[in-house]
Amino acid sequence: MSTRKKDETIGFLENLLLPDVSEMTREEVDRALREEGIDVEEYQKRIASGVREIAKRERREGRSAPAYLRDVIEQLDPFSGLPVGIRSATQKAKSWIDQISGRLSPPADPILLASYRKSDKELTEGDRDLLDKEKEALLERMKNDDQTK
Amino acid sequence: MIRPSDTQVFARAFVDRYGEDCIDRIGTFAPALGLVIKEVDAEEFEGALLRMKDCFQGTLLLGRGIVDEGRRRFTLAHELGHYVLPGHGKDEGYCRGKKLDSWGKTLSRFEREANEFAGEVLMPMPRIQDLLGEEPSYEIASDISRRCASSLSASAYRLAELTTHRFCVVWSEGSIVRWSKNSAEFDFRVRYDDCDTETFACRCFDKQPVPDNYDIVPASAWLYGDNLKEGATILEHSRYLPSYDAVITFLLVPDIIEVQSKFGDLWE
Repeated sequence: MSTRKKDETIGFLENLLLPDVSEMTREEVDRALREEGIDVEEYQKRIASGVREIAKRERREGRSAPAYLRDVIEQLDPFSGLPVGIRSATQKAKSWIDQISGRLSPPADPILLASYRKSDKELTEGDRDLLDKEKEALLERMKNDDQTK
Repeated sequence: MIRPSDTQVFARAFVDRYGEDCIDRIGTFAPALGLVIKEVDAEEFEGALLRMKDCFQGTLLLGRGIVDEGRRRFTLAHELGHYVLPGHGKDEGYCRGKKLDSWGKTLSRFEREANEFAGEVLMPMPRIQDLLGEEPSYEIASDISRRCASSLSASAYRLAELTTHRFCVVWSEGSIVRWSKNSAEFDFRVRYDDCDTETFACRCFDKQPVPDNYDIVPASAWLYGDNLKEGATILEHSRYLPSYDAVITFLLVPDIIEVQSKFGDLWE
């Protein structure tokens, strides 16, 4: 079989067996990884910790960590606050905002949280009922979203 | 130049992504954020955020009872801040309605951040930049409020945040100073105390007539006097706001009134 023919066959089989990641949304990728038993957040933490180790090693040897390593550390560690430099801070904030729409899939054991803006008085019975109904509706919505995917 | 706070950077990134009119158009992109926005007939809460921990799925409830449009938009933007900002939404909690549009020192970090976020997205810098060159005043704060459909107190706070004049806005309730916000150039400490009888704010609470513009008051009536020149004066414009039963005060320092000033060398 010629090399070209072999490449075409491999490409055909790849398309048949594997989804094209570049065509998938972040949400779909996360879901596919989870379905394969991969905990995405745990995996990100492990990569971040590994990259941090490499950066530390560089510094121990008297070299500053390369910019691409610092970028990876910052991108994988969204809760650590923004960098001091305004340019990298803006870049990281933009990336956080862009990623919101990709983090819609709930974890396996979803926990519902509620916060209210209220007067000094306690919530009335009616308010509590209203909030309970809305909580149920949210859980229902998530269940339905889950089924349609 | 002072680096904006992390919250401001996030808010600017949000405005950059969803536009300066993002609060007006929020219905169009909320589903992409996993957010449903509903108006409800609540009795004791003005806004609520129900969300799933560790993912972006939530419902933002707005009470139909909020009559004031500026307050309604602020509530919306404030809850959006809780939804969007990293680190928020880790626990249950509530924000008291009284603390809406408030920046008192007793506010928790998350409440302050959500307020700051709301200020940034409701009144983005490019939208009000042309108003910032002028001397900060009640009229300029009102212009910001009209242009951005934001409340007067939030607009005044934003003005103090962005102006380069030596300016401070003070909010008093029941004759007591509740919160203040000063510009970076206003290098004084406001007295968090009963309003001094020499202030126009005090006269407002006593229902006495006050000037309709800036007028001179002793600096010590508003500021701690450790570093003030003897007989120093500043400009004050106070207004009683019946709907809040509060007084909003604008303070302006046009001259060097301190014994030792970091601006002294530059101005002399």
